[in-house]
Amino acid sequence: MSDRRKAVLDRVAEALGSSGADHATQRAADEARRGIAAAMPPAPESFDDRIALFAELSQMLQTEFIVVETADEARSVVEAITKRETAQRVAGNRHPLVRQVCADITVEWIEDGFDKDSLAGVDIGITSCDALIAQTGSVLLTSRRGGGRVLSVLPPHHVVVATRDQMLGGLPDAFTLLEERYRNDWPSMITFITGPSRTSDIERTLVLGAHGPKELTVILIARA
Amino acid sequence: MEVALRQFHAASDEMAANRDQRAYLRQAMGRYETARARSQGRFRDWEQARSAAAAIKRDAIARLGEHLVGFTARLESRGVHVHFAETGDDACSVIRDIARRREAKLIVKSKSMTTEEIHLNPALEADGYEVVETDLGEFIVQIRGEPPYHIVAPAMHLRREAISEDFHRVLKEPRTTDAAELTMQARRALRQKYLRADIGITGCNFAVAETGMIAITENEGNARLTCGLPAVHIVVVGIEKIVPRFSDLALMLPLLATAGTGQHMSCYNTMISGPRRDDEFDGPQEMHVILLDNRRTAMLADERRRDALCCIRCGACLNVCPIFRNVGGHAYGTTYQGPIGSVITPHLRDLRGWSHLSSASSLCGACTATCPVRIDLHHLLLHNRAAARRQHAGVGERMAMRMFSFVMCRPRLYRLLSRFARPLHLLSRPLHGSRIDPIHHWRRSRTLPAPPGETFHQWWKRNAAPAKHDRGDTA
Repeated sequence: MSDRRKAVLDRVAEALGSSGADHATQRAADEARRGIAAAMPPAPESFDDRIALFAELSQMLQTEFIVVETADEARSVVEAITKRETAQRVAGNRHPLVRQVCADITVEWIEDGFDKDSLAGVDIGITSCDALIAQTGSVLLTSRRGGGRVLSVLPPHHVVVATRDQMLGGLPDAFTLLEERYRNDWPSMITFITGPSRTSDIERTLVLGAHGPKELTVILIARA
Repeated sequence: MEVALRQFHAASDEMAANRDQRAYLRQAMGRYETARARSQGRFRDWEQARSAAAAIKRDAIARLGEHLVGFTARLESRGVHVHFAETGDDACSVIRDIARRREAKLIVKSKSMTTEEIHLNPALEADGYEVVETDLGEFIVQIRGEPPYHIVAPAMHLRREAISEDFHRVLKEPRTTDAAELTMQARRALRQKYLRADIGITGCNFAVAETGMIAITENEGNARLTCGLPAVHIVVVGIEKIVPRFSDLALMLPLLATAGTGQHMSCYNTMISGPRRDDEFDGPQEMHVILLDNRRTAMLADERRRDALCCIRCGACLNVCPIFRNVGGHAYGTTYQGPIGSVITPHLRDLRGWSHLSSASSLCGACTATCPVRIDLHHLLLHNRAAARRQHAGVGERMAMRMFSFVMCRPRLYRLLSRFARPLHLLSRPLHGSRIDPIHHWRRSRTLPAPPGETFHQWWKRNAAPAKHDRGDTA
């Protein structure tokens, strides 16, 4: 096994010769990185502008985006969601915010024991997240704050609860946050979720809910 | 004539005559163009974004050895098994060994062109494993026993009626023409596969050197399930997929989505750093990353060709290529189609058998203009053609070129011979486009204009320069 590793790395070294040794490409790349934020799509600064952009993109993506003032209001919203259809099984991760907004409903907590076949029968997966990103209308979620890898992708409806301070402007902010928070101890999975699952593989016709959730609801608690 | 070339001629002739299919392809590409224009328009400076991505990928390739070592070390520090594969067969062997050791029965896969390249599925099926493609487009062509039609949209050539017939036959589902209902049929069937699979195999869009992570971009969620549910996760990734820094993804992910499908961001962009951590309660217990060479180092050795390794597999060049739009993906007969496929296939396979793809080009340059990492695709096609000629030019072609340069270097000889151009053209008319016409490939479907009665030199001599006082007149 390590013979092959050596063989490939030797061939790489031989192929490149002394290219890269002068650091010219590294300098060019660093130079390019410096100015790039201004070239990307807009990443608003103010909270109100961020909400507005996130809302606009959510509409395009068919993400249900609900802004409430308080955790209490969020609790009512969550209860209403679970009542939309009869007998909705709900699973969630035991994050303080999730516990708070789920106080009125019955939740199967993922921490109490993960059973994939049981989870496959759950209707709603409700999780916290690491951040929301206005620039792309995305939810940033890790296996640490998202209840693992599968809770947010197996049930057909994913509900995310977020607070004011989690609403970031753009993707660079998200990567900065991830590095600061997890640099020394990475979760095994980090994911950017942008809308419900979709496919256009059949005659290029857009269909939601290919394998992941058909519905994505983001509840943002706006008051600090 | 080489087999591949003959097949290409046959397949493209057939497609070119199929007006329905061509119209359908054109429609699909038109929709892509609309979506792409909208997403690209949100960038405040798309050209700068392209240039930055180009610089970053070129640095990734220029210091590939260094990046690969760092990438490997970081993954291994988190318990990932990193394997290097010199050839496709090496990679298949590693995977078959893992499957054997784990006594696997069912393997699920998410979309990976690299696993297509190494012909992984037939190798695993020969060993008796059930292998299921979970990407909807891949699932559809797998059922049909066909290769993918396009690197990003594998089933784009199929109508829903055909897909429904296949689902009815294999999944025993009722026939329908509703795309949403067809998707649900596939979803139902595949759910059980995810839950029972022993091994999940994915590709990788970006291999982040700085943090040792595998980044996977998708829309359906099948990759997340493939690397989330089974106990073993195997990643097959070409060595050129390296991206130096974690934060480089803030540029590469929206760029890939915009160029590839006209989206601002793909639905799921997932970074995996290892198997499940001690404090996590789901995810695979075992993870393997297989770094594949398979002649990429040969491309790396050529300073110009090296650029083609910057490709992020977005598929944009396919979408804008007039050849691809008219002959479709299957005609190429390769894993990678379109302009990038034409550039790299002769080097991943062999130059002699595949250089014809580099000539299946009008050199319009649309591919180069659209490439998000600024690969000079059409000049690389010319580079391939030159290499092919140097190595494999036929005797006839070599002689013709020698004669051509002999005449063109001797102006008097050229002038003498050009007096015969028109009479020769007129006399040889009956032969134009026939088998013995040396340029019958062109004259078979085009009419070359007849050379005029006199050369320019002759005309100029007759109509000599105007007198000095007329110089002010311009027509």
